[in-house]
Amino acid sequence: MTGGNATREEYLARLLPVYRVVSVLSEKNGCRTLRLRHRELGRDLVLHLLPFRSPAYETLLSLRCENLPEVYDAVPLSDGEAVLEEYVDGVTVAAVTEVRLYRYREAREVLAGVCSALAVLHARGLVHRDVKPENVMISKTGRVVLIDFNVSRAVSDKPRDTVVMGTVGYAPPEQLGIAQSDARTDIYAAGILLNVMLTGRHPSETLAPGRAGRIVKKCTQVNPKDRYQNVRRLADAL
Amino acid sequence: METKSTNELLAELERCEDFTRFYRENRDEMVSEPLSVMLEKLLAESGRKKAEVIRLSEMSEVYAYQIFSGKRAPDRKKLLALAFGMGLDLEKTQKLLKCAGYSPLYAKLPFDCAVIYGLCKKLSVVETNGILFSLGEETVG
Repeated sequence: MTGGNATREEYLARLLPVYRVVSVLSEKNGCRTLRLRHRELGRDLVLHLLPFRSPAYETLLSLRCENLPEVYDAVPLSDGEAVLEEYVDGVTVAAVTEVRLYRYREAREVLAGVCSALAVLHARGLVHRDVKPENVMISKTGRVVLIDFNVSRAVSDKPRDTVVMGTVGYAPPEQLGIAQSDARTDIYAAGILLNVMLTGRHPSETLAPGRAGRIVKKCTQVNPKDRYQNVRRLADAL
Repeated sequence: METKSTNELLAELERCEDFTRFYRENRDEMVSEPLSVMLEKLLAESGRKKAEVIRLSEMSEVYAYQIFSGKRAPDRKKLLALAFGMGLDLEKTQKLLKCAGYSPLYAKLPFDCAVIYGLCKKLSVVETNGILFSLGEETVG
């Protein structure tokens, strides 16, 4: 379905005869995410209505990775973009860690899946910039899926981050305006993610013990040059 | 089970001079059971299997099982989704909300009004959320 000069509301109105709204998954920063269900086929998908064009989703259109959601369409609109994406039926890592902690073997599998997703993004010059437990889904079949690319950017987009994006606690110093975000930005956040899965806390409060703690420390070095330089090295360390 | 209505209890409370005595005499009228116990009771009364309730509530299985087991305290919208999943009527839904410490549904609030309509008409979560969405309200679940 093409957008033409349609607005986001008009685009949504065109979808409603075919899809019904199951629920509003989130509304923040002008971005609206809905879970839709095909009225006849009964299949669910996710609709993102964004107030801007997203290079990340447009890149994901051509990608197939088990650890990334399949993007079915990215439609430019007069006031932003509509993205139709696979609905992952599962639970976030955040929901799991609210109730229990991960064992190292489980956490390693989750992080390996995240690294796999990041490797695909980074290979195409994209940085996720919001890796955190709320953005990692575990499907009913155990598939690890990195979601939410609303703040993802190409590495070459700007010489420096002039607007603070991402999540407090997971954003490294460079994301707060000191230097440009790159793949190592995501590695920083991945380190925090690992620590939270194992301890329930930020590493500044409680560092994971043993080998995991050493990995977290390396991921979260203030100077990006002192971190793992790419996700493959992080995955190997796991 | 409760024998006095909330209003009866409230009237007695306003009249009482000795709270300790009032509390002792009316202890059994108080909502005191854990939410997970209430949910299991209502589930049994619904005649539905847990898996079916979870499917009808449109919630993630893991999340819903955590709620039933008492490991997770649901927010009000998720609790309402379970109410729909169990096919509860308005009265049982109100009891469930109170048990969880949430305010009961209030017909003068647009969100609550739509939810009450959905419960009374035995609509599904999806049908009720369609109404809520058209009103620009948050959705259940």
